[in-house]
Amino acid sequence: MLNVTNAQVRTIELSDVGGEEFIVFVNDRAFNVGPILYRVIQWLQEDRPFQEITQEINLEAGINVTESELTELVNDNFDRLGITKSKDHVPLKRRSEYIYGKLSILDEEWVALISQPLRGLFKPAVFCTLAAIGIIATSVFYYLYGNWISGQEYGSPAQVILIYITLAAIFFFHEIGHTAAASNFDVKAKEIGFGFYFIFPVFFTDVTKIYALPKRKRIIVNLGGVYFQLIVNTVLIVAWALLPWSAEAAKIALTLLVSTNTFVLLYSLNPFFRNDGYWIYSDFFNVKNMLIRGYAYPFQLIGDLFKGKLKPVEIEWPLLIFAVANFVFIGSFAGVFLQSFSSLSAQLYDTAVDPDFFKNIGENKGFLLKCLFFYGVLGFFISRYWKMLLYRIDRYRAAKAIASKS
Amino acid sequence: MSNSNNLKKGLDIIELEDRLETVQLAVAAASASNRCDSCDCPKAAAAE
Repeated sequence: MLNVTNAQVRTIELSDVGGEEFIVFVNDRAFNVGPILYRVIQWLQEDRPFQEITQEINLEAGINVTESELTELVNDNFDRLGITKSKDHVPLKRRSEYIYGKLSILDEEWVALISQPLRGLFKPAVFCTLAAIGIIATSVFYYLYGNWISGQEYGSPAQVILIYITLAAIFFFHEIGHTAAASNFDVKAKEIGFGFYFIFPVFFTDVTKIYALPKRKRIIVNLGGVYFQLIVNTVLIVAWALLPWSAEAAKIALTLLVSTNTFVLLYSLNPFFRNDGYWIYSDFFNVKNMLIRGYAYPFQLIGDLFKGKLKPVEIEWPLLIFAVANFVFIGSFAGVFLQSFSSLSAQLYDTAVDPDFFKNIGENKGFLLKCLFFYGVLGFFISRYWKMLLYRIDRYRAAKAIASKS
Repeated sequence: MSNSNNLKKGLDIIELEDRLETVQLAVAAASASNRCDSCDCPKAAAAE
């Protein structure tokens, strides 16, 4: 007997992406499922009897499975999807919570309200024209006035604060770019918020539902952010060109905005740290869970090589290239980190053993706060990865126990 | 063998990572604070 009610099965959202790829959403979590499970869920939602479903599956997939066998397997899968009618079921831990300290700025309704009027910007002709204008305007501006900013005064603190507020608004607009693109393909973004990715503050928008879209449309949603930044660049450059040279302060502010906007735009295209470039690469080559899989993949290949099981035709090159590049990137990041760690620790030791430590504490407060932040972040990551390691050991032991029983 | 393989593949489940499209705010601060990059820069001139 099936372990789920009809009402529970109906909460599952189904999406046939094409190319034998099937996506289901359960409580806003996305799963890639096999065609048999997809069909079973689809037919259960149509209230078809399970006996009939088993016959259809056997016919369609060219297999021979009994009703009770299929029931047992499907029950296991509903458990893995996190839906079951048993009361003592513990929902699965979400595997991809990578933004900490999330703070929602705009909820789903507001995001939809703002995104809808901007959908027209994603009509193919409009998209190509505005993107091309943005790229040309930015390039020409840099070619002609790239060094103009050097040597200029930056203005009062109030002006600097105004520049930062404008930048925050531009980056918020970047997120609207993603949500408007999703809205153009009739997918609702969940929210726009603020949080921390590792230690870095970020704006984010949850567009998990675009897994239901085909590859080309997913890439356009990924590009939505930088596309909107290019539009902002065009507007800023036009404003800059219209201003007379006598309005120097305003020209400097606009130049600063253009250069920072362009820098962030280009940075967003790098594929590390789950920037926009990560999703573009992942969607272009159709590699799912790239970062998580990338950590293990090279070692898995080396293992296969030693066991003589490595088949070159089966190597997922895009994943392997990303994985190796990611290790190089993490290695350089770790190198810089270790260098800072050793110099900071040496300085901290000298400060702490100084007999006048308490006398000079006021003088050293900046340095001590820096240390507190640095070691705080380090402690956070050590405890997090320690927990992850223990969790993996537990899972490994549980899997081994199940394997030895069967 | 093929029967059980087809069945296994057909019932496969992989949880996908959430798609949170982010924009890094610290990069903007780094870029904006790195503007003084020429010897004509007032700060650099003052330091000399």
